Amino acid sequence: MGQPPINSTGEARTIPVIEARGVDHYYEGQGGWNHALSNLNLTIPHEEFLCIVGPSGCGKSTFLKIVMGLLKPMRGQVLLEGKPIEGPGTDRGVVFQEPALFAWRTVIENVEFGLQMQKVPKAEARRRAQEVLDVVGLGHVTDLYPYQLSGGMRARVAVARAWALRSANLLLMDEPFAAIDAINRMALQDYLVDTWMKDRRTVIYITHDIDEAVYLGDRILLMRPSPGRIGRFFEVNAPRPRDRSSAEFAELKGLITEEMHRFSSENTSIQEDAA
Amino acid sequence: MIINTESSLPPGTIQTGAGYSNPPMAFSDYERSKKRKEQFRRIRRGATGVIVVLLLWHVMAVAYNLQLILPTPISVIQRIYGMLTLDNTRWLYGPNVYVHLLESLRRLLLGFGLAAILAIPFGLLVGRIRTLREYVEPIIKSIYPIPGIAWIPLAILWFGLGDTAVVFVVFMTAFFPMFFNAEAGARQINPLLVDAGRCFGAKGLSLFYRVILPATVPYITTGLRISLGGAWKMIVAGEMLASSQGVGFMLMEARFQFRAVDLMTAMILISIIGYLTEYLIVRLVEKRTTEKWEVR
Ligand SMILES: Nc1ncnc2c1ncn2[C@@H]1O[C@H](COP(=O)(O)OP(=O)(O)OP(=O)(O)O)[C@@H](O)[C@H]1O
Ligand SMILES: [Mg+2]
Repeated sequence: MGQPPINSTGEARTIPVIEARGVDHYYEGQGGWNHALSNLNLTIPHEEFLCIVGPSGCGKSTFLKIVMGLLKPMRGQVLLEGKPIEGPGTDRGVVFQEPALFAWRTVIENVEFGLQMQKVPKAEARRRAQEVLDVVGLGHVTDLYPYQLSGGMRARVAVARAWALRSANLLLMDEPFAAIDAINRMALQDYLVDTWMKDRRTVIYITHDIDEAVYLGDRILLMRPSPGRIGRFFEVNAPRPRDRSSAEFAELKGLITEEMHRFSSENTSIQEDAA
Repeated sequence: MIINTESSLPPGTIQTGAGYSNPPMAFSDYERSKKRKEQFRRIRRGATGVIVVLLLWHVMAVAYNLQLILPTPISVIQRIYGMLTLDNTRWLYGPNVYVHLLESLRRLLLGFGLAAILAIPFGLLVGRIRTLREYVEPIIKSIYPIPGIAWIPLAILWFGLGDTAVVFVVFMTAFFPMFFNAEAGARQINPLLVDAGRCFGAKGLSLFYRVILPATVPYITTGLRISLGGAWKMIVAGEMLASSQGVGFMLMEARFQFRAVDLMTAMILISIIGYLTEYLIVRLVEKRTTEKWEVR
């Protein structure tokens, strides 16, 4: 990231969207405490597209839940626009790792949920929901109930539900496209990049797909497991849309993959030492 | 590489995945005739069972000359018909049968309805709010084992013989199944759904009404069904002991008058009304909720 982004009034915005200070979190685990996040310090400037990758169980979802306001860290704090996060809110659009759809609402009613809570007029909410559903390729199944959808379709409804929320300046997505087939996934990635370029919001995007991270992110955070912590940052400077077949793309992918393997093996050796 | 999906979404940009068309004709024909056959078979078997029981009943009554205490099915059916068509507008020494039925239904709706209005929201709250649960759990658990029928004497002492006493015991009976089911339902909700609700702006009342209540509906309908059954039984018991109207009173009166036909007639009416109320109240709720959105 070069210059600090400029807001509408022309002054530089110096307060970052997210500032995590010394975040520590433990879960009650098998025979003791499981150190899920350890001394996590992270600053995310406005309009950044941050991808988080890392081996399974390294605390990615835990960090995102803290930012969502669903989990209070045991130590440290996370500031959202300079203020400590008190709870969840519609200023953040969220996609959970599982679709978490409301079984009693049709597809379109699920997408309208956030708008309805914000008291957006009915017709307006319906129009917006239909628009987003068209984008994710579900414009023809608006009146089905979640049980009637395939797994990939459910994942797309969950994405649409977050995208419909225009009040959200921060998008928090936890492996949103993981369950979606390759063709739809690429189309959705392109759509995401496209809307993000037009209407810059801040995005925190968790993925286990390094290719996806390199394709989407301004910056990639590789987390280290046991305990979950910051591993290494990678900047991606290539202009968008990015060319997946370019040499730099492959090189960066290789670098991240290698580093991740290193962290994972380091992790097992730690466990072996302890044993 | 970028597909502009914003303004003019070209159809087919994103694969939709499912093709919709009618199933092949032969297949649906086959399905339909199979269904019809199964339905017919079910009705035939059910009817056979009923007819066998009626025949045995008739044979018993006639063979052992028991008509005085076991009237024949035909005479009972005749009596039901006569009673419903008001050939004799009086029920023995009381008002006609519709007055009794309406009186019982009124008490049922009052006792059961009040219980539902209180038990369901209260159960949901207790299920969700731990502090509240810790306060009320001992009270609820100590009252619950007292069977509804054991409240009748106290109810008579408090409210006298009559309407209020019956409504009260119906309330006491109907309350607990709905309360416990709502509470269990609220406790087992997938926490992710509550999280999703909160992230999309639901809180307080809207969270209860938009997420917790619908997520608990299968439990609530189970509670409604159990409570309704219990409430109807308690109506009959309560009216037998503490009222001069209603279906329970019909039973007692018929016994005092030694009229077995009227007794059995009243019992059959009780069965029919119990079935109908279950159908009308619980099935209606289910049709509008879980049947639409649950896996079939
Ligand atoms: N609710 C919970 N209770 C107890 N332990 C938990 C809970 N959620 C997560 N954990 C533990 O915390 C650690 C980090 O979990 P987290 O879900 O953040 O991982 P992740 O990086 O998102 O993994 P994945 O890529 O598999 O989704 C794991 O070891 C997990 O066992
Ligand atoms: Mg995760």
